[in-house]
Amino acid sequence: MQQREKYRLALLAACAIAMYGFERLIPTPIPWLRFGFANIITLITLTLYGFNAALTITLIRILIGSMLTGTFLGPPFVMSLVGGVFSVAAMWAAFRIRVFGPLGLSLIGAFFHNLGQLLAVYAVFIQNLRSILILAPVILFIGTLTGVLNGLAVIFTMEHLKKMSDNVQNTQ
Amino acid sequence: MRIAELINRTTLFDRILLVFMVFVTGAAIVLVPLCLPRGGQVRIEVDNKLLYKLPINEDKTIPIGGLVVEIRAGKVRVADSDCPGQICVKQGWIDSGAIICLPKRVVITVEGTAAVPKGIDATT
Repeated sequence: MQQREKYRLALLAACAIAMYGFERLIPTPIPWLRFGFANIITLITLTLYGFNAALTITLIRILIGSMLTGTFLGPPFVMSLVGGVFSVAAMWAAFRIRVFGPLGLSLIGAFFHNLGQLLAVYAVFIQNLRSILILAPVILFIGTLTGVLNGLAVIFTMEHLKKMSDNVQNTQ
Repeated sequence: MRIAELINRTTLFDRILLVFMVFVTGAAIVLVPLCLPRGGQVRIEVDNKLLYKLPINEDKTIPIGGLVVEIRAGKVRVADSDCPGQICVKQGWIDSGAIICLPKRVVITVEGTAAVPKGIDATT
Protein backbone atom coordinates (compact mmCIF):
# COMPACT_ATOMS: atom_id res chain seq x y z
CA MET A 1 0.00 0.00 0.00
CA GLN A 2 1.35 3.37 -0.94
CA GLN A 3 2.03 6.04 1.64
CA ARG A 4 -0.45 8.36 -0.01
CA GLU A 5 -3.22 5.78 0.24
CA LYS A 6 -2.41 5.16 3.88
CA TYR A 7 -2.74 8.84 4.69
CA ARG A 8 -6.00 9.03 2.81
CA LEU A 9 -7.46 6.06 4.66
CA ALA A 10 -6.28 7.44 8.00
CA LEU A 11 -7.90 10.79 7.25
CA LEU A 12 -11.18 9.21 6.20
CA ALA A 13 -11.18 6.93 9.23
CA ALA A 14 -10.57 9.95 11.46
CA CYS A 15 -13.54 11.69 9.83
CA ALA A 16 -15.69 8.63 10.41
CA ILE A 17 -14.67 8.41 14.07
CA ALA A 18 -15.37 12.11 14.50
CA MET A 19 -18.84 11.62 13.01
CA TYR A 20 -19.39 8.66 15.31
CA GLY A 21 -18.37 10.67 18.35
CA PHE A 22 -20.45 13.64 17.25
CA GLU A 23 -23.67 11.70 16.81
CA ARG A 24 -23.39 10.26 20.30
CA LEU A 25 -23.75 13.80 21.62
CA ILE A 26 -27.10 14.31 19.94
CA PRO A 27 -29.88 13.44 22.37
CA THR A 28 -32.37 10.98 20.91
CA PRO A 29 -35.75 9.86 22.24
CA ILE A 30 -34.73 6.19 22.12
CA PRO A 31 -31.28 5.39 23.53
CA TRP A 32 -30.22 3.01 20.76
CA LEU A 33 -31.44 5.31 18.00
CA ARG A 34 -28.36 6.28 16.00
CA PHE A 35 -28.18 8.32 12.85
CA GLY A 36 -25.24 6.42 11.45
CA PHE A 37 -23.51 9.58 10.20
CA ALA A 38 -20.30 7.58 9.88
CA ASN A 39 -21.97 5.84 6.97
CA ILE A 40 -21.68 9.10 5.02
CA ILE A 41 -17.90 8.71 5.09
CA THR A 42 -18.13 4.99 4.35
CA LEU A 43 -20.33 5.62 1.33
CA ILE A 44 -18.09 8.37 -0.04
CA THR A 45 -15.05 6.14 0.39
CA LEU A 46 -16.87 3.31 -1.32
CA THR A 47 -17.75 5.38 -4.38
CA LEU A 48 -14.35 7.03 -4.64
CA TYR A 49 -11.87 4.35 -3.55
CA GLY A 50 -13.68 1.01 -3.64
CA PHE A 51 -14.60 -1.85 -1.37
CA ASN A 52 -11.30 -2.51 0.41
CA ALA A 53 -10.88 1.10 1.46
CA ALA A 54 -14.49 1.32 2.70
CA LEU A 55 -14.20 -1.91 4.67
CA THR A 56 -10.89 -0.81 6.17
CA ILE A 57 -12.20 2.51 7.44
CA THR A 58 -15.37 0.87 8.74
CA LEU A 59 -13.32 -1.65 10.74
CA ILE A 60 -11.00 1.09 12.04
CA ARG A 61 -13.99 3.24 12.99
CA ILE A 62 -15.72 0.42 14.86
CA LEU A 63 -12.52 -0.63 16.64
CA ILE A 64 -11.38 2.84 17.70
CA GLY A 65 -14.93 4.05 18.29
CA SER A 66 -15.67 1.18 20.65
CA MET A 67 -12.43 1.84 22.53
CA LEU A 68 -13.33 5.51 22.90
CA THR A 69 -16.78 4.74 24.21
CA GLY A 70 -15.70 1.78 26.33
CA THR A 71 -17.77 -0.86 24.60
CA PHE A 72 -14.87 -2.82 23.12
CA LEU A 73 -15.80 -6.52 22.80
CA GLY A 74 -19.14 -5.87 24.50
CA PRO A 75 -22.56 -6.49 22.93
CA PRO A 76 -22.71 -3.10 21.14
CA PHE A 77 -19.29 -3.82 19.63
CA VAL A 78 -20.39 -7.17 18.20
CA MET A 79 -23.56 -5.57 16.85
CA SER A 80 -21.66 -2.71 15.22
CA LEU A 81 -19.12 -5.09 13.73
CA VAL A 82 -21.65 -7.42 12.10
CA GLY A 83 -23.86 -4.50 11.06
CA GLY A 84 -20.93 -2.56 9.60
CA VAL A 85 -19.58 -5.46 7.56
CA PHE A 86 -23.08 -6.33 6.30
CA SER A 87 -23.71 -2.73 5.34
CA VAL A 88 -20.44 -2.25 3.43
CA ALA A 89 -20.86 -5.56 1.59
CA ALA A 90 -24.46 -4.76 0.62
CA MET A 91 -23.62 -1.23 -0.50
CA TRP A 92 -20.72 -2.52 -2.57
CA ALA A 93 -22.93 -5.12 -4.26
CA ALA A 94 -25.55 -2.44 -4.97
CA PHE A 95 -22.86 -0.05 -6.20
CA ARG A 96 -21.53 -2.66 -8.63
CA ILE A 97 -24.85 -3.08 -10.42
CA ARG A 98 -24.70 0.66 -11.16
CA VAL A 99 -28.37 1.55 -10.98
CA PHE A 100 -28.41 3.22 -7.59
CA GLY A 101 -27.28 6.71 -6.66
CA PRO A 102 -26.09 7.75 -3.19
CA LEU A 103 -29.66 7.88 -1.86
CA GLY A 104 -30.42 4.28 -2.81
CA LEU A 105 -27.03 3.06 -1.59
CA SER A 106 -27.53 4.81 1.72
CA LEU A 107 -30.98 3.23 2.16
CA ILE A 108 -29.53 -0.20 1.36
CA GLY A 109 -26.64 0.39 3.74
CA ALA A 110 -28.94 1.43 6.59
CA PHE A 111 -31.24 -1.52 6.02
CA PHE A 112 -28.44 -4.08 5.94
CA HIS A 113 -26.75 -2.51 8.94
CA ASN A 114 -29.93 -3.10 10.92
CA LEU A 115 -30.35 -6.56 9.46
CA GLY A 116 -26.80 -7.49 10.46
CA GLN A 117 -27.35 -6.11 13.96
CA LEU A 118 -30.55 -8.06 14.42
CA LEU A 119 -28.90 -11.25 13.17
CA ALA A 120 -26.04 -10.68 15.59
CA VAL A 121 -28.48 -10.11 18.44
CA TYR A 122 -30.40 -13.22 17.51
CA ALA A 123 -27.37 -15.45 17.00
CA VAL A 124 -25.24 -14.34 19.92
CA PHE A 125 -27.46 -12.95 22.64
CA ILE A 126 -31.16 -13.75 22.69
CA GLN A 127 -33.10 -16.28 20.69
CA ASN A 128 -36.36 -14.43 21.09
CA LEU A 129 -38.01 -13.96 17.75
CA ARG A 130 -40.97 -12.14 19.25
CA SER A 131 -39.02 -9.23 20.67
CA ILE A 132 -37.18 -8.88 17.36
CA LEU A 133 -40.52 -8.89 15.57
CA ILE A 134 -41.79 -6.14 17.87
CA LEU A 135 -38.69 -4.07 17.14
CA ALA A 136 -38.83 -4.61 13.37
CA PRO A 137 -41.21 -1.78 12.43
CA VAL A 138 -39.36 0.74 14.61
CA ILE A 139 -36.03 -0.32 13.15
CA LEU A 140 -37.33 -0.21 9.59
CA PHE A 141 -38.71 3.28 10.17
CA ILE A 142 -35.50 4.61 11.71
CA GLY A 143 -33.41 2.89 9.02
CA THR A 144 -35.41 4.49 6.22
CA LEU A 145 -35.32 7.92 7.84
CA THR A 146 -31.60 7.93 8.58
CA GLY A 147 -30.92 6.30 5.20
CA VAL A 148 -32.57 9.22 3.41
CA LEU A 149 -30.82 11.82 5.61
CA ASN A 150 -27.37 10.28 5.07
CA GLY A 151 -28.04 9.76 1.37
CA LEU A 152 -28.83 13.46 0.96
CA ALA A 153 -25.71 14.34 2.94
CA VAL A 154 -23.63 12.18 0.59
CA ILE A 155 -25.16 13.89 -2.45
CA PHE A 156 -24.28 17.31 -0.99
CA THR A 157 -20.77 16.27 -0.06
CA MET A 158 -20.02 14.67 -3.42
CA GLU A 159 -21.29 17.77 -5.19
CA HIS A 160 -19.09 19.95 -3.03
CA LEU A 161 -16.05 17.74 -3.62
CA LYS A 162 -16.67 17.87 -7.36
CA LYS A 163 -16.83 21.67 -7.30
CA MET A 164 -13.64 21.85 -5.24
CA SER A 165 -11.73 19.58 -7.59
CA ASP A 166 -13.03 21.60 -10.56
CA ASN A 167 -11.72 24.78 -8.95
CA VAL A 168 -8.32 23.17 -8.32
CA GLN A 169 -8.08 22.05 -11.92
CA ASN A 170 -9.09 25.47 -13.23
CA THR A 171 -6.50 27.35 -11.20
CA GLN A 172 -3.70 24.99 -12.16
CA MET B 1 -28.30 23.29 -4.15
CA ARG B 2 -31.97 23.54 -4.95
CA ILE B 3 -34.52 20.79 -4.37
CA ALA B 4 -34.98 20.18 -8.10
CA GLU B 5 -31.25 19.68 -8.50
CA LEU B 6 -31.25 17.34 -5.55
CA ILE B 7 -34.01 15.23 -7.09
CA ASN B 8 -32.02 15.13 -10.32
CA ARG B 9 -29.16 13.51 -8.43
CA THR B 10 -31.28 10.50 -7.58
CA THR B 11 -31.74 7.71 -10.06
CA LEU B 12 -35.02 6.03 -10.95
CA PHE B 13 -34.02 3.01 -8.86
CA ASP B 14 -33.31 5.28 -5.88
CA ARG B 15 -36.84 6.57 -6.02
CA ILE B 16 -38.34 3.12 -6.50
CA LEU B 17 -36.33 1.84 -3.56
CA LEU B 18 -37.39 4.77 -1.38
CA VAL B 19 -41.08 4.24 -2.18
CA PHE B 20 -40.63 0.52 -1.56
CA MET B 21 -38.94 1.09 1.81
CA VAL B 22 -41.62 3.54 2.90
CA PHE B 23 -44.27 1.04 1.86
CA VAL B 24 -42.57 -1.85 3.70
CA THR B 25 -42.14 0.30 6.80
CA GLY B 26 -45.80 1.31 6.75
CA ALA B 27 -46.88 -2.28 6.21
CA ALA B 28 -44.68 -3.48 9.08
CA ILE B 29 -46.05 -0.83 11.43
CA VAL B 30 -49.61 -1.87 10.60
CA LEU B 31 -49.18 -5.63 10.27
CA VAL B 32 -46.72 -6.63 13.00
CA PRO B 33 -48.97 -5.71 15.95
CA LEU B 34 -51.83 -7.55 14.24
CA CYS B 35 -50.05 -10.85 13.75
CA LEU B 36 -48.07 -10.79 16.96
CA PRO B 37 -48.83 -13.98 18.81
CA ARG B 38 -51.00 -13.54 21.84
CA GLY B 39 -49.23 -13.67 25.10
CA GLY B 40 -49.42 -11.58 28.15
CA GLN B 41 -50.59 -13.29 31.24
CA VAL B 42 -50.98 -16.82 32.46
CA ARG B 43 -53.66 -17.08 35.13
CA ILE B 44 -53.73 -20.10 37.34
CA GLU B 45 -56.89 -20.51 39.38
CA VAL B 46 -57.60 -23.15 41.95
CA ASP B 47 -61.16 -23.48 43.30
CA ASN B 48 -62.01 -20.29 41.42
CA LYS B 49 -59.44 -18.40 43.39
CA LEU B 50 -56.64 -16.72 41.48
CA LEU B 51 -53.36 -18.10 42.77
CA TYR B 52 -50.85 -16.95 40.14
CA LYS B 53 -50.75 -14.32 37.47
CA LEU B 54 -47.53 -14.67 35.53
CA PRO B 55 -46.10 -13.25 32.33
CA ILE B 56 -46.07 -15.98 29.68
CA ASN B 57 -42.68 -15.02 28.28
CA GLU B 58 -40.88 -15.69 31.53
CA ASP B 59 -39.81 -19.30 31.89
CA LYS B 60 -41.00 -20.87 35.11
CA THR B 61 -42.07 -24.15 36.64
CA ILE B 62 -44.71 -24.08 39.37
CA PRO B 63 -45.91 -27.03 41.43
CA ILE B 64 -49.57 -26.75 42.48
CA GLY B 65 -50.97 -29.61 44.50
CA GLY B 66 -50.30 -32.67 42.36
CA LEU B 67 -49.74 -30.63 39.20
CA VAL B 68 -46.58 -29.23 37.73
CA VAL B 69 -47.24 -26.25 35.47
CA GLU B 70 -44.44 -25.27 33.16
CA ILE B 71 -44.13 -21.97 31.31
CA ARG B 72 -41.52 -21.85 28.58
CA ALA B 73 -40.91 -19.91 25.36
CA GLY B 74 -44.26 -18.14 25.43
CA LYS B 75 -46.23 -21.33 26.01
CA VAL B 76 -47.67 -23.11 28.98
CA ARG B 77 -48.39 -26.76 29.74
CA VAL B 78 -49.02 -29.12 32.56
CA ALA B 79 -45.81 -31.09 32.71
CA ASP B 80 -46.91 -33.62 35.24
CA SER B 81 -50.04 -34.62 37.12
CA ASP B 82 -50.81 -37.36 39.60
CA CYS B 83 -54.42 -37.69 38.49
CA PRO B 84 -55.57 -40.84 36.65
CA GLY B 85 -56.93 -39.16 33.51
CA GLN B 86 -53.85 -37.13 32.50
CA ILE B 87 -56.06 -35.09 30.17
CA CYS B 88 -54.34 -31.86 31.08
CA VAL B 89 -50.91 -33.36 30.44
CA LYS B 90 -51.98 -34.74 27.07
CA GLN B 91 -53.23 -31.34 26.00
CA GLY B 92 -49.60 -30.27 25.73
CA TRP B 93 -48.33 -26.76 25.12
CA ILE B 94 -50.81 -23.95 24.60
CA ASP B 95 -50.29 -20.27 23.89
CA SER B 96 -53.96 -19.33 23.98
CA GLY B 97 -57.13 -20.71 25.51
CA ALA B 98 -57.12 -22.77 28.65
CA ILE B 99 -56.09 -25.99 30.30
CA ILE B 100 -58.63 -27.25 32.79
CA CYS B 101 -58.01 -29.98 35.27
CA LEU B 102 -61.33 -30.88 36.83
CA PRO B 103 -60.23 -33.36 39.50
CA LYS B 104 -57.89 -30.77 40.98
CA ARG B 105 -60.19 -27.85 40.16
CA VAL B 106 -57.30 -26.07 38.49
CA VAL B 107 -57.91 -23.70 35.58
CA ILE B 108 -54.97 -22.35 33.64
CA THR B 109 -55.86 -19.63 31.15
CA VAL B 110 -53.73 -17.56 28.84
CA GLU B 111 -55.09 -14.10 28.44
CA GLY B 112 -53.45 -12.04 25.78
CA THR B 113 -53.36 -8.32 26.22
CA ALA B 114 -52.59 -8.03 22.52
CA ALA B 115 -55.07 -10.69 21.46
CA VAL B 116 -58.17 -8.97 22.77
CA PRO B 117 -60.01 -7.89 19.64
CA LYS B 118 -60.50 -4.16 19.71
CA GLY B 119 -62.23 -3.75 16.38
CA ILE B 120 -65.86 -4.07 15.45
CA ASP B 121 -67.33 -7.48 16.15
CA ALA B 122 -70.66 -9.04 15.35
CA THR B 123 -72.45 -7.48 18.28
CA THR B 124 -71.45 -3.86 17.83
